[in-house]
Amino acid sequence: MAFVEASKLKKYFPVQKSFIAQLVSRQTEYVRAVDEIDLSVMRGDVYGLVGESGSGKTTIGRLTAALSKPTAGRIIVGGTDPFAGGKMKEFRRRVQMIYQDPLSSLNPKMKVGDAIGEPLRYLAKKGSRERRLAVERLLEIVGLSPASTFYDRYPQELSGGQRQRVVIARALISQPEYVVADEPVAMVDVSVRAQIMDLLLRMQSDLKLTVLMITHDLAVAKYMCNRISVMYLGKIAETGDNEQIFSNPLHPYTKALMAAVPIPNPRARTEKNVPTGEIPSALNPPSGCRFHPRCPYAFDRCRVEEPKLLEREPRHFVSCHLYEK
Amino acid sequence: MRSTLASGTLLKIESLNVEYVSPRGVAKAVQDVSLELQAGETLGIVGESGSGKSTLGFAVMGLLPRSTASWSGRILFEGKEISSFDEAHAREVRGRRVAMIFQDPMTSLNPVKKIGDHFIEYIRTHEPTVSRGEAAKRAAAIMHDLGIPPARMADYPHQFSGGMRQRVMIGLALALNPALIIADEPTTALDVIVEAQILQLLADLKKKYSLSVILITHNMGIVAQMADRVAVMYSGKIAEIAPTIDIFENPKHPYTQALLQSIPTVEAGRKVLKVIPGYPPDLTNPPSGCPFHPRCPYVFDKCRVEEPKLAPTGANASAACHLLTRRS
Amino acid sequence: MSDKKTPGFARSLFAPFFARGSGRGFMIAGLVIIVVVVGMSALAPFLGTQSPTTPGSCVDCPPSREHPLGTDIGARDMLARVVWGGRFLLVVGVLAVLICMAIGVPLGLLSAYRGGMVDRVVTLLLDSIYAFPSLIFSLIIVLVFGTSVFVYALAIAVVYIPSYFRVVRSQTLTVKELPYVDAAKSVGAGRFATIGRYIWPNVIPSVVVVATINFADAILITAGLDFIGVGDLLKPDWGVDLYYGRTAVLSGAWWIIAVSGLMILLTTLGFSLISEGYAERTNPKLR
Repeated sequence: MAFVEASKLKKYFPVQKSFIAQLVSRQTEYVRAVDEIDLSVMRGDVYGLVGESGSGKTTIGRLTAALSKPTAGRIIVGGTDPFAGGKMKEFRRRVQMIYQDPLSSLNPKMKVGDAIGEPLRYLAKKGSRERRLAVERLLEIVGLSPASTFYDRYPQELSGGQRQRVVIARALISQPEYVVADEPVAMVDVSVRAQIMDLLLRMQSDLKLTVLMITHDLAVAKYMCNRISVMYLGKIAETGDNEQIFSNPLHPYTKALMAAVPIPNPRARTEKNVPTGEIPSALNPPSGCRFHPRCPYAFDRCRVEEPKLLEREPRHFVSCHLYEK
Repeated sequence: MRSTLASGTLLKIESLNVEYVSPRGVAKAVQDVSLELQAGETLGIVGESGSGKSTLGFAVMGLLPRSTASWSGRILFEGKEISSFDEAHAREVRGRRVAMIFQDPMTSLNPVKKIGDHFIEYIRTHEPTVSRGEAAKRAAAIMHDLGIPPARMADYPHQFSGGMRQRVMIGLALALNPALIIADEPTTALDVIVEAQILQLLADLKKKYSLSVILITHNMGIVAQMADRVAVMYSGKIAEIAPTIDIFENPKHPYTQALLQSIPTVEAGRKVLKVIPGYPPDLTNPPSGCPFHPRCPYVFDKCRVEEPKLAPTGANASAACHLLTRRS
Repeated sequence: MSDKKTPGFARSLFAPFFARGSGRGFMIAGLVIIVVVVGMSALAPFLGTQSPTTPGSCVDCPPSREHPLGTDIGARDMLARVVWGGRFLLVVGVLAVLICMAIGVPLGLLSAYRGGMVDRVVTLLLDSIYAFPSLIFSLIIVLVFGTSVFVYALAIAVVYIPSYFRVVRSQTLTVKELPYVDAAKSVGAGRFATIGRYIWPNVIPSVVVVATINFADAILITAGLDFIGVGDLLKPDWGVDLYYGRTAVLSGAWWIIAVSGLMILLTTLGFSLISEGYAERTNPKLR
């Protein structure tokens, strides 16, 4: 039984039109950020959503955290559908988000300690003294010690790594069951990334969390995630366990991504077969398989028919016509 | 001290110091940095935010903000000192002989000027004798090398995607046939696959136009793939500089070692990441002695008081660490 | 990480006054002027000057030992009139600013937060008020409703509310899109908590700028109305002095309009300096 289940999930964003344009043409254009996705995250998974910009990964993260309403499809987290019936406060206590940019995801006018205590204020209705104790305890746990000093600091006074710890603390204080981590180390200094990844893994195992890890960095996904879905332009290209994806990537896009990552090993300088072109706009995605214009293996069927996500080996799914024989 | 440069040395930086005035105090962005770049070489400068790598690039290009930055030292390009040139002379070198590529192409392009016009005006500003038609031809030739169809010369920057804009920036940098390109985080704002395209493009162009390149980045993977030599910077100083293979296979400075052990990779096998404690230093209030000492696993007393100087560790390699000079 | 602590929320309002950097001179100068003017006006009854309203013996007399700034058409001591002349203006200013903030700020916050059609309609409405010429509008209101402090304040406020609305709305629209406001949603903050604790504190600096300009303008309008003879000409007031001083100048009594004009200028300048300086300090500077 999946802990986080998304079925036939769609999220389309209408394109903002100027006042006059709205009067002139009735038609609205949509950015198809997420175009019919099924997702199954098991309890205790660190599930990676890997993709480049426009893949829809962040949107899916926000949808599963009920920070955004789906255009179509359903989301169930821990047996609850957040959009059916008004149990939102309880849902939010169980589902939290770690944002990408620690500087802009913290209120510059709020003390860091107060910011961490916010979930307890609204979701658990705890009094100020109880909150302070809980916050100080958590500050110590995430490594911001001494807690009493850090409590009164403002985000601008902290370094990037410290801020990210604050964001993590804020996400964990309500003792959630499911956490969406959106690029948690992308904006952290390189020498500090290992600390933060380590902290996240430690918290995940201590608190028995289910984590959806959104990242564009394959190396981070390899280190942190046990199961991974690779996304392209609003659709899932490939899903599999960590070992499967990295030792046996099936989808041409996955292979291209792997080959494109610059490896910190000067002896591994191979001639790369880099796909041409760039990610097309999600306003008007290519027909058939979305990757076909850039795929070195594309053939006729790819241009007309969208491939389905099918299981090629146990637990390893891919949506590509190459594998449909 | 030799008064003439060794043949083949294109750029020589001597004892460069750059300080910024910031609301929190004076930040020593670059401290006593000296290095040489040989013609035809790709030098990678690796560091995190606050390491001084970008400031170094700006200093060579003369792009330091006049109101808040002060600097000292010498920069010699093709044997001639460019740091003390008068403005007009300096402008000739910077742009014609040395060109820079920035991280965010959107803010470097004029949104109301067609892409083609960017090229034409740029060429004609520096080479006034060139006619408009000829400039357009040269632009078209460069665009071809960049993989941009000539029809797109009539487009505006916002009609280009991120990767295309970066190609335009590279093209502009090459328009005047420079000898040296300084690329400051050229792919950081780009997606993974486009990044690979741009890096490959840079490698191809380097060969075709016989360029020397200084590649500034925080990404160890990029320098591993592109650079002949790597300088690792920390807190405004060079911690270690050596040929690429040596940096990766036999790093001498504890910072380099720690960094390599802490970054995840997609290579085969399960890597256990070694965590580096602490955070990069505040440039307005750096640690005493060796700037890495608060985080160094091998720290001893001398590290806390005395700044280590760069000492040779092998052929064409040196590192600044008291560990290396301890036994000798 | 810096060892210097950022002052608390309330103090951060005043921090731009004292932090290092350019523009500090402006701000301090403005602050000094305002403190002097306000102090003088507030403490007027205790400063032991002559009466500003009791006529003396000498009409339109030049500065002398008895009357250091001369006298006006009603043989009243000019020094006293300078000390007392700002009170009405300042009270009008304070009231006008308070009324504007009480209406313009919540309107801006809520309209921008709500967005959609509601926001568009409200903005349209307030933009049309924005087009009113402030002096003429205030003139009409005062002529119709009388010359009390409240009427003045209300007249000025009505015309100024759209400015507050615009600034607050624009700031709110920007702040609303920032991740930390989204984070407020995920920690369970309701609408009012989000506006009150996440959006409003980050909008305040822009309000301070508008408020100081508003204050300066209020003084100018009020003094201006007196100057054209519309207000209550019996009260001690710099604008009233300008009204009488106009004719007095023709007979050579330059000191009347000189000192009252100077006071108006100084006060407005003080607020403008603070406004400029504050705006420069709290907005990130372009490199």
